[in-house]
Amino acid sequence: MKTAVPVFFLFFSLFSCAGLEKDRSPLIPESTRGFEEKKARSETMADTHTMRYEEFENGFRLLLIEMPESPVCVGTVGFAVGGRYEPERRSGISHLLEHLLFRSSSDNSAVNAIRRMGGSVNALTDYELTYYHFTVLPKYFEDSLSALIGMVLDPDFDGNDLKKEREVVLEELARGKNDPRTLALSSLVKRVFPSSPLKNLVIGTRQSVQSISLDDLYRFHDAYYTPSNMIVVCAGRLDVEKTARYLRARFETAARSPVPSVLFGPPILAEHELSRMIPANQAFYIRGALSPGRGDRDFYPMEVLDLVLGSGNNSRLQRRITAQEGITEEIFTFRHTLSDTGIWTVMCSTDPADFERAKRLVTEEIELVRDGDLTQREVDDAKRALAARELIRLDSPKELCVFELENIVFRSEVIPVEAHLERIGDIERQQVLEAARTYLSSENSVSVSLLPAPAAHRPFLLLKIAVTGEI
Amino acid sequence: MKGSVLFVLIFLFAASFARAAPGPVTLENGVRVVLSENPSTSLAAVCIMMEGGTDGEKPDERGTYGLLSDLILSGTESRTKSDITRELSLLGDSVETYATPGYWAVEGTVPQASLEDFLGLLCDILFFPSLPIEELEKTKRTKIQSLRAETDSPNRLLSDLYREVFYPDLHVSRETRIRNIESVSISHLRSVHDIYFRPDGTVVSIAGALSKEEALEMTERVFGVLPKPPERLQKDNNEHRDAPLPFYRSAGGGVTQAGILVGSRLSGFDRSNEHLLQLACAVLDNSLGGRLFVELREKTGLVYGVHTGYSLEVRPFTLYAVSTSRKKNIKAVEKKTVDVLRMLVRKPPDARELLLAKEYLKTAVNTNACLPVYEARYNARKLVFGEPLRSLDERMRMIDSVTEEELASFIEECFPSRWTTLVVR
Repeated sequence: MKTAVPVFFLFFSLFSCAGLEKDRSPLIPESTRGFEEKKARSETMADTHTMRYEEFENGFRLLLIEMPESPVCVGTVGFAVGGRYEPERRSGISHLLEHLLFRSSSDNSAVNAIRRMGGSVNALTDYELTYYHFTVLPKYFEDSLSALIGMVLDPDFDGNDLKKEREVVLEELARGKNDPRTLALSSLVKRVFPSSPLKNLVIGTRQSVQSISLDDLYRFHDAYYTPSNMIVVCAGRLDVEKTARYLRARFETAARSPVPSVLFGPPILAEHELSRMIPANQAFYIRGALSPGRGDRDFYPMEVLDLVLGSGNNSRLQRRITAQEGITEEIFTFRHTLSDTGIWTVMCSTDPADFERAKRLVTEEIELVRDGDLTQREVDDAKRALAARELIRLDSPKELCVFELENIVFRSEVIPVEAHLERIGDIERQQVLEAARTYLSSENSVSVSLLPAPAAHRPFLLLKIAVTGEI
Repeated sequence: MKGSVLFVLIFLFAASFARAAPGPVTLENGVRVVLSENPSTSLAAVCIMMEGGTDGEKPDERGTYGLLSDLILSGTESRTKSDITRELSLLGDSVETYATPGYWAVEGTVPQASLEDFLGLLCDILFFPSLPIEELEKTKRTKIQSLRAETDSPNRLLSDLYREVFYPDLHVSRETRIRNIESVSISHLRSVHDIYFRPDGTVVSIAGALSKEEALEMTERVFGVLPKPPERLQKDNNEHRDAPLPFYRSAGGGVTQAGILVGSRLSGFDRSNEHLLQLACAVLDNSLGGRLFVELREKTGLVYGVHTGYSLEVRPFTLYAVSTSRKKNIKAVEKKTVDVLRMLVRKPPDARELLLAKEYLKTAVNTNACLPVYEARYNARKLVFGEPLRSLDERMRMIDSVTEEELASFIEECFPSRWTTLVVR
């Protein structure tokens, strides 16, 4: 029941608190997604692992990945819905619903059944995807999958559950503002994306979470939690044939239901330079940019560019700022990618005395690469490093499930690990340079400076935070 | 060296690694090698531990031994700092180096085909670092910057408070630590390296889908060439002052929330009973359940999450429950946490709770076993602490064999009646 993977927390804070003012858009849009006639499809792929992919006529999709030596099985059930599908005044409803689906008045609830089998069960809500997952010993896999599917499709929560879970979510919301950096970023972001739904934090705001009713939640569930909008991905020591038979029996004849359509407008950066005083001892510099979406042709070149510039100890920024200048070891990049857009950010913390130097060096390195200072060897090294990283990451059944779930939702395709590594290997220097020119331009840049407030100002800042929750 | 190869081969025939206890083998120069075969992966992981660590620091050295973890990456007799950084990056950038009170460690995961290159690189940085003075100055600057940055992290401040209260012998203030770092010389760190980074204090633990023969031959080729040191390193007993604990301590630092830790010492605990401790923790906090989770989150929404953990790195061992909560709820969280912990002694886990905890723990252990680096680290720590190595199957059997009475008796014996609360508000 996490809102986000912790390492991406700062990123999520970038897409933060929206007001509730003036938003009158309906909870569920009346228009529906173009629903072209689908033919049932079934495909077996032999890669590092044997994979079975099936699409039913009603839109339901499944992917089963056989890892016969794995000591565990992982099941994920995903729905193409999340923070980007919500009207502003109900911001956070996807996440609150995710929490509530774990609630049940019965001791024999699905979640308790999985837990009694020793299962580790959880969920994650993102902007365009919400998924539920469990890890169990292989002997419990089929029962756990059946229980999880029952849990997400047949909700059993009431007003009392909503009251309790709302408190948990408000606690989670407060927890996300306990660090001065994240608090400052969450306060600034609505100035960066004033007209985009991306300004809403996935968890919502205190006001929006408090305003969501039981009726809203059930309507939202009815609209988006349907077999037509559902993807099941499993990996581990599982019986592919048996699991496919079970899913076919359960979903193949389910009615095709239209899924509400939400148009994602392209986000526009309204501010390029921001600065704030914060109640902290260190200074922080953040440079952000909109980056290509998961389905964009620049997606893979941007991954390589990320390694060249800031990700990992061999990147330009780490070599320059940490290894050569010894300014700070806290400099890193983070990326978060959606279907049609994403954000790439580099962040460093410094002693206030080193702040201007660090800012200048970050800017210099970004501009050098943007202007073509990029050797073939750098690109080759970054590709090799990225391929090795991905091989390590995707060795885990859980990571592999999530990777493929995102591929299916964002790219409408399954990408076997070997094919993924080949795509990385095929990237040309020229493509990386083009991505750098496009995405590192000054028009596509936000520069945020967070500087320590003088001691005398801090009590006022802390008081303001206590009252407004913002800086 | 031929003798040790022969020994290795004899050992290989004698032991079945597939699901049996994984080793160890001691090379002629004293390097201990342990292998864990993991057929489910295409990767290989290595964890190397050098006995010693920050526990050997005198009060005016506190905070300085950890610098070696960074400095070993600054160049060797045959590699520049850039060479090392580049090689590690090409191998997937998974390498971490760190120091604990009991050892220095370096660990990482690589594609299996790169294992021998990886072992060679690690051997080079651990045993032949050039430790250049100019790199020490940069490392000092970045370390001091990191220490100062920690003052903006409420979680880090809670962790500091925990060390100050539970391990006063190991604790010095952040400012003292910074002063110690500023004043340490490269010659002093070189002498620390000479004392501790030696083959007979080294454990090399490998996990992956490679054959035992391959792995041992590879390790012998890389680490077997290190000369045998003159005498065996004496290991400290790692025991610290059992100072009286306060009921309550607090510090400032939280913005919107308070961090709360309720902890105590584990009296009479033996490391061989770690599985019992893990079961007790699983009764308190497991996947979206457990007594603490239900009381603090499900029933009341006081916290978002609660984590039960323990520290067995140095004696005396400790057990704790950590959570964060809005400041207005601190008292309620503290009271409920202490009540649940005390109740565990008065009302030990019943058959149903024990069964759930066992299944949860077995899943968790197997999930970790999917990650070769976890298995490599697990085995290395067992060797460093002189505990028997156990295969995954043996660990499963140990968990399965625990009875209600055994767990109840363990809890009664080791869990205290008095708990200490630490708060960063």
